[in-house]
Amino acid sequence: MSRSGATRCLAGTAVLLWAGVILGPFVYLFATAWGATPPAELTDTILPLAIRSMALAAAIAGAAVVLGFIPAMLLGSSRRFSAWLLAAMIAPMLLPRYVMYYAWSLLLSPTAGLGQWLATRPAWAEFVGTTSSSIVLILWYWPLAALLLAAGWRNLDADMLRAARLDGSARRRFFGVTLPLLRRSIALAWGVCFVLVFSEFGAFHLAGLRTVGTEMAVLYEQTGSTAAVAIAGWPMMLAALAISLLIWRRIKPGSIQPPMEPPSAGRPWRWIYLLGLWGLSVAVPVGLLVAGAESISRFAHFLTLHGDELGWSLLPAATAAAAAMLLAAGMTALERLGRAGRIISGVMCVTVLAAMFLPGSLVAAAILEMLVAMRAPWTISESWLIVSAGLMVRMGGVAVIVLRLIRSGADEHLDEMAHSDGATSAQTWRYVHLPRNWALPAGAMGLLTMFGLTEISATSVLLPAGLPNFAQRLLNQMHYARDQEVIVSCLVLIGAYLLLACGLGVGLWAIRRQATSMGLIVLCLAMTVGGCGDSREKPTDIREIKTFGRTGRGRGEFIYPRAITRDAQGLLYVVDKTGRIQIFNPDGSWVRQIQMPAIEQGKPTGLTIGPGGNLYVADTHYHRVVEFDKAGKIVRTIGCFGRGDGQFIFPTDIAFAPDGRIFVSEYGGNDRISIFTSDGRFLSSFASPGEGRGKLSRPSAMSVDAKKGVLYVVDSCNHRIARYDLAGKLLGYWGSVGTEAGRLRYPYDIALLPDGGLVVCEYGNNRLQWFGPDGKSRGTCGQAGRRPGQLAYPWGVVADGKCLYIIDSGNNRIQIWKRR
Amino acid sequence: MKSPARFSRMNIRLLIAILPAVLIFAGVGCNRSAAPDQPRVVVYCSADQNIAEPILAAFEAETGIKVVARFDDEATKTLGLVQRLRAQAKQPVADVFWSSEVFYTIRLGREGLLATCDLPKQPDVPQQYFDKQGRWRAFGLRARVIAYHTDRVTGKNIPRKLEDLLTPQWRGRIVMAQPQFGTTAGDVASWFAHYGPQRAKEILRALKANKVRLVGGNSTAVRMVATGRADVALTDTDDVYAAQRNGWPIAMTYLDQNGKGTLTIPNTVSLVAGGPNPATARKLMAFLLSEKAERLLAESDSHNTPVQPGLAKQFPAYTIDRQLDISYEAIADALPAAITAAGEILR
Repeated sequence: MSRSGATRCLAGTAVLLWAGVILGPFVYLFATAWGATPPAELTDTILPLAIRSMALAAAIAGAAVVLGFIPAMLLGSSRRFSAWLLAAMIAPMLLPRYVMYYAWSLLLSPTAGLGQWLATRPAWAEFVGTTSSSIVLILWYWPLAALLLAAGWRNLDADMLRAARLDGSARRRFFGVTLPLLRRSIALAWGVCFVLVFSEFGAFHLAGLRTVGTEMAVLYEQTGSTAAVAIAGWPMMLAALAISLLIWRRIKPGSIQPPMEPPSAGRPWRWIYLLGLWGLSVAVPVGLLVAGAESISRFAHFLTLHGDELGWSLLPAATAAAAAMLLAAGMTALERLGRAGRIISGVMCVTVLAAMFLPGSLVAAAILEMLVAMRAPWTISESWLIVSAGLMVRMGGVAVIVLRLIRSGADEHLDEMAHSDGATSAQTWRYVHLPRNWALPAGAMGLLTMFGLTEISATSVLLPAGLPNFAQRLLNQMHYARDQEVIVSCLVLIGAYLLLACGLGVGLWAIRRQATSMGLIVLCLAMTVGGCGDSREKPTDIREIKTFGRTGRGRGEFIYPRAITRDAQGLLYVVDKTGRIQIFNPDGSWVRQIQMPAIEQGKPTGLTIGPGGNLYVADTHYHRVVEFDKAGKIVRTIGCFGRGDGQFIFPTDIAFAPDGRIFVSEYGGNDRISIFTSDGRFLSSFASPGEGRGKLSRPSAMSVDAKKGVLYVVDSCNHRIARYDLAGKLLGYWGSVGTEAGRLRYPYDIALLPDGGLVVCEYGNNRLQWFGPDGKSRGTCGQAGRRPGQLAYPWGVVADGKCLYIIDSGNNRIQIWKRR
Repeated sequence: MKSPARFSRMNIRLLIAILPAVLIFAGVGCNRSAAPDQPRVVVYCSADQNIAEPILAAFEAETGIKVVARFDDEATKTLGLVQRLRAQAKQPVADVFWSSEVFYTIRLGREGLLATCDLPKQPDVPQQYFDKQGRWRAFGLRARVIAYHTDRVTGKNIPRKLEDLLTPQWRGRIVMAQPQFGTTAGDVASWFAHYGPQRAKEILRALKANKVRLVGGNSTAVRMVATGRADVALTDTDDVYAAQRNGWPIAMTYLDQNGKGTLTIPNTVSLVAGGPNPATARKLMAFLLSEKAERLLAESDSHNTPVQPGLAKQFPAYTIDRQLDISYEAIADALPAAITAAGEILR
């Protein structure tokens, strides 16, 4: 598929931005520092501090992970409250760490009761003073740890946990099963917190604690040498790269699964615990600030004096947030430009994430060094764009993570459909992705803007003359012990956050509503760019509609089901993106399941019951056909990766001739049908990739009409049904691309009807279409939507005498349509 | 005629191409700068932002000259701006350097980064507040003090001089800012200039033996005393005034050096060599040295002691009893060695 210039332009802009602001400055900084002798200050100060700081960061990160475990369990398993829990986890992180520290330190103020009590007990005062910053950091970082752990929790195998409940005590289950399963997530959460605490500046600085973070922040000014900063920054750079690689491997699109809801998720004490923790992280600091405010008139005074300062601080922060989102969007666009694009995007992703974990002073030093090397005129080097550049480097990783996480597998299919309708990339964005996804990027941009508003480490170095800065004033006011000004500033900041949170809440509400009518968007697209023909025919003779299944990883739950088949006893076999083949009675009750042997590379997309009753699975991403016996044991596999005879690239379906011969369809460059004997010996193949007669483009399903001796092949990307005889000779086609009756958009599956007709499952038109034995359309049924009878990207259909069973993939359910 | 799709595609391309250019122009042009015909002056200021802003605003109101200020942050007090001036030496951005201390100003002058400047005569002001070569002038003094907790340090226990802090009585109870930055650096350097390097190092070792704690700034040091984490802090007058304004139990005695007096640290103002607006810079410098500006400083929360004798008499509460008789140049000479020694001994 050719990609529009807009995609290339977006990708190119992102590459330029990345090369100019991230790669170039850091490479230049570390290259110039290569071989330089470390200044004495470095060996004398930084190195001894590094060990102490590592121990401190390790302890704080460990405590954050421990505290965040129960909230993670709740977020990972609660369906009803997941949105609220997510908001609750994000809220503490909106308060800058130094603001949270300052709020808590009001309790220790010499004029407060506790402060006065402590002042008479020096040992206690010292203990509280030394540990207060660490405690505040733990209170700030537990939500981050919880978010990362929750992602792991959602990917746990619910059945394994259920099985473990039979095996022993809760303690044994926790240490023997849950913890080992979560070990990677725990390591990631700890690692991320460790790296961030290691370079922490604000809270430690205010607490008077010397760490690597505080020393790094002043190293440039102290030595006047960017080389010193680079040398001191090497260990941090390596740690940041390591943790970035870990994150990059885990933040694939759609990698966050819906909650799995284990039975023990909702114990009351866990909610009380979460409430208490949240209170300590949000309610108490905000309460202390509110209680400390002496007069409401100070707010008016603040806005009069510093209102424009807030605006001038927002400008570079908002610009940086927009640039970060542009960078992330460009990286996503780059991934669509082939293998080279994906490689470049991967490199960009890791470096952008790594830059996020580096101390701000290192970022600022790199940018300054680059400006000097380029001999940039002061009109550039003294502009607020330089602050934006620094902020973009500090926040780009967050934008990348957000954009990658909100991208789902469905997006690519939507892209393809829009393209088939003649939409440009810009139109696809305007009419498909933007209405569907706008709230999360907009919310992320808002969050990044707020983060940028309070960033201090890089800003304080890069700030040009004449540009007022809110964060710098706030930190200086804290130093000057101007409590009332600080309190007012912090409350104004919190007010701005609340406004943002309201906006985000409205956005999320809107996107939920949007999700409900996502099909309408596709319809809207079709009407807007693909012509305005009304594709909906009157429903055929469907008299009753039932559904079963819902989103999840448990029994009777689905994560994007993609293939269905039915055996002689009427049992239904459904495979989804968890790699499970679940077996149901015709009424939807769960019977048992079969787990695919390997799912790391991808999951199957084709299921067929063989003549002997065994289950044949097109194990698409392992390039083979797997045969299971009735007990669910693997009997044999057919084929391997390759282009040769008997080899496959992405097999999609299996069909059987009356004489036992096996037909296997595949795509990925082969796009052909291979024929095997019943014992798996290759006989021949027919068709080749392409668009014309005799060609196939992503054949996704097959069905054999034994009475007529016809093999029907669903030629998905050519939007037609191909008819062959059982020797592979082409007989003709039914359908062509379009939305009217008789036309097809991305047909993905077919089911043979007793009268010799076909029912076609149209992924692109979100409907079923009936064809008579003569190839004429006899009507359609279904439209895009979430209600019963409506479909969201259906992948498959099977039929028995009375019912049609449809895989309503986008709705994670099976619909049963009973016919008259 | 272009099709809508093609038109839209072109729009997007055009937008992506134009956006960076628009941002760059906006970024370059929108630096909250003066109107095109309005004269302006760029000042790098390490005095406290809250204190300096009203004075700069008064200058703007009086002259109509737009002041473009860059303030320091407390973590890298003064030194951050000094390094910035050094980095911009070939292409200066600032016109005026208003420093809250004098030692780095002297060093910048010696490095050739400051220009000589004819300014109004001030015959009453002592000569120590003038650079002989006319590269800087001083105004608005602060003094080094010992801040102590009024509940825990009382009567005869109140330390009166530096030597008092070297006794074991204060072991683990002294706090000071890191000696690489700000006025603390100048203070330690004054020990080297006043006592000589050997004795100064002995003092540092004695402080080390007393487990002196180093923190990020003078205000942090005072806060630690106020919260009971330490009993005494080496700091500046303005930090004590700030604590007292908040009602904290903090008092001070001047940090006398061996009975010879207390180090006073003036603000300094200097003309940056090669700065883009020398004419407006001179006007700002003259204003800062005026009685009006020094009065504003004395009346501010910082309560700086005026160097103009007539004005100083109007603020007797801020009179510094006995000032250390040592030249600032000598202290500036000792600064690098003092910082190195303090770093080695106190680390």
